[in-house]
Amino acid sequence: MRKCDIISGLFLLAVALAICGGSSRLHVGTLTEPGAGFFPLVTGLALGIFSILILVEARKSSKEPIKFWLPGANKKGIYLTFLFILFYALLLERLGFIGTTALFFFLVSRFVSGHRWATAIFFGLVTSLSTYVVFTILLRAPLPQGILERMF
Amino acid sequence: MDFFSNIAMGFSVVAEPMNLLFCFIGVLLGTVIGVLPGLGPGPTISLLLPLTYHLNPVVSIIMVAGIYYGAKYGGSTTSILLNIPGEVDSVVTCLDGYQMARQGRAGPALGISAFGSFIAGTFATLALMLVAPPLAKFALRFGPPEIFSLMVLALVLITFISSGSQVKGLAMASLGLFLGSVGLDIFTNVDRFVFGYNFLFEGLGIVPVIVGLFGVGEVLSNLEVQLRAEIYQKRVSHLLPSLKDWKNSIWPIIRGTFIGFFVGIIPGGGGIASTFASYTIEKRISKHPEKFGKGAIEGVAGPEAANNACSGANFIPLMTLGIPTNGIMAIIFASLLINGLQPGPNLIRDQPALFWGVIASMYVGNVMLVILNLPLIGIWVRFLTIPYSVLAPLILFFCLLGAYTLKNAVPDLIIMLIFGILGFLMKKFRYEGGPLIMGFVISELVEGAFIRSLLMSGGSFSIFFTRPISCVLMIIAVVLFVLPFFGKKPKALGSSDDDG
Repeated sequence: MRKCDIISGLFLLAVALAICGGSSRLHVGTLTEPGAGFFPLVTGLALGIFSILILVEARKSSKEPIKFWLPGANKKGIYLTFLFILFYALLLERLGFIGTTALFFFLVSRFVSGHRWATAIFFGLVTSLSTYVVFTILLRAPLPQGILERMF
Repeated sequence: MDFFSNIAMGFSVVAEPMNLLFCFIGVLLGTVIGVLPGLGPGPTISLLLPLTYHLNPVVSIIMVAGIYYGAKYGGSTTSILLNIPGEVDSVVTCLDGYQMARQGRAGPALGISAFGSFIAGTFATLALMLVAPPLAKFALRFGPPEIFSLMVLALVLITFISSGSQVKGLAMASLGLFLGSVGLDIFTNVDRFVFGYNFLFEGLGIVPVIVGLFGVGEVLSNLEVQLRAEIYQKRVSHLLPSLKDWKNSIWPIIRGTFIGFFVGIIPGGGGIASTFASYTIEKRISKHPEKFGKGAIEGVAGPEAANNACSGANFIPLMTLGIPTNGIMAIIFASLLINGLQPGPNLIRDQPALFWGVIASMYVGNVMLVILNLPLIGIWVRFLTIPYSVLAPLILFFCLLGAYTLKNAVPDLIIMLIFGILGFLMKKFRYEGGPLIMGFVISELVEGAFIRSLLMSGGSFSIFFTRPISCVLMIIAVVLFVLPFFGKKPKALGSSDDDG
């Protein structure tokens, strides 16, 4: 636990320093005339103080080593989920809603959840098409258009 | 007379078909997600935030409130049948509820938990109705220094009562306050920390941040170790508790109701704190403390009542003072903001239909929940068989849809992803999401009150200590901040915002 607290404490201290540095580049002003950087600077200072206190507390926490991943952790699933969400963000406005959503659903169902190919494809198509119909026809909310959407 | 006319107005609001329908959808959804382990009210409400934007504010808050208290009812089902709390507040119910199920008494356990929840939920709603208006009237006298001190006290309290380290909580609250300040400064119109990205001018959106932290973060954590459990008793019968069960349970229910209500008013006083307090008290005053942990019905009735009274009471600080008391209340706070409403003392005066309508919906919702929970218990048991491998892609998809459709902006998906990773890492390093979200949503209010106070006092911090109300609030905050350094933090209490 101690190692975890030291790592997170140091990380937060670095974030606090970055916030303070960034705030001081803005106009901080004075106590009588606070500028745009004043409040972020105060939050950065507070974060800095608390991260130092986390480091102080870490000295008291148990030395028992805690591994980052639990035994038998599904690491692949987590990395893939991250990657698929990133793909979704990058492709959505290029490929359109139906194509990207079907692909996303298929990829997550097949490679993260471990469903069969046919089930994953079925899930992907049903979810993307039904959501598209609900949003564009019932809610009249625009969704990104691609080749498939232009067919409707 | 005013009081009764307000109640009548509330019921006339909730009687509108649309409001009634969304109250039903809210409690139904709440029960379902309460039943499903790995999906709590926090992520669910955050996923629905964009939808609430398209609905009328009264409808959306009625639905969101229904999800919150509905989840408390549903959460007990998994605790009793699976020994897995459907949501974190139901942890205590596992202790005796599951033991009752093992003895073939799952029916009375589920029954008393539903009736206890109904009694407590109804009482809390009644008390909310009586306490909130005078408290809001009092809070209208607050100026910027009082508001600032109150917010500081709320942040210290939420971290003081939380189960984790207080300094970690305060660090998260500070980070939340900073993240809330990204974008255009409200006073000078100068952009802050936008790094040339136009989409950051309006700040980090509430929806992508919350959906990322609670939705994606939750899925990533659950994916690491998937939940598997055996239902102990698949067929549940004899739901009506016997006369003896009632005799053993009625006082724990009454005591639990009061405990839950008072804990719920305190910022940071989440359901889990009230359930632990109720369980401890029942065990201590019982003539047969040895029966606790082995299937004592008092150990189910008291904590369940406390949990539900607490959820009603949580609305008091939100509606009257504008303070979200835990992570989920912070999300409800955000849904009010999305609808253009500022939670706080003016809410009751300016939006009487909303306030009284939501209160009346809680009465109606509690009745719906008893009807939903008892006869439909077989269906809820079936929900437990849905594997997480089916739920995970759906939840992730709703996260993406929710984050994108509010502004139709791809950058919001990236923000959601970043906060998803942050949420996952925070769980790993034992940091709570509640204080971060709370700091984030109240950041603008805190900054406004802080800067205005300094302008009022000519740059002197003494303004926070020379005005009586502000001074009292600040002193309490300082005492609570310092206490843990002398080893006085109450270890038995926990926060309810772990799940959302």
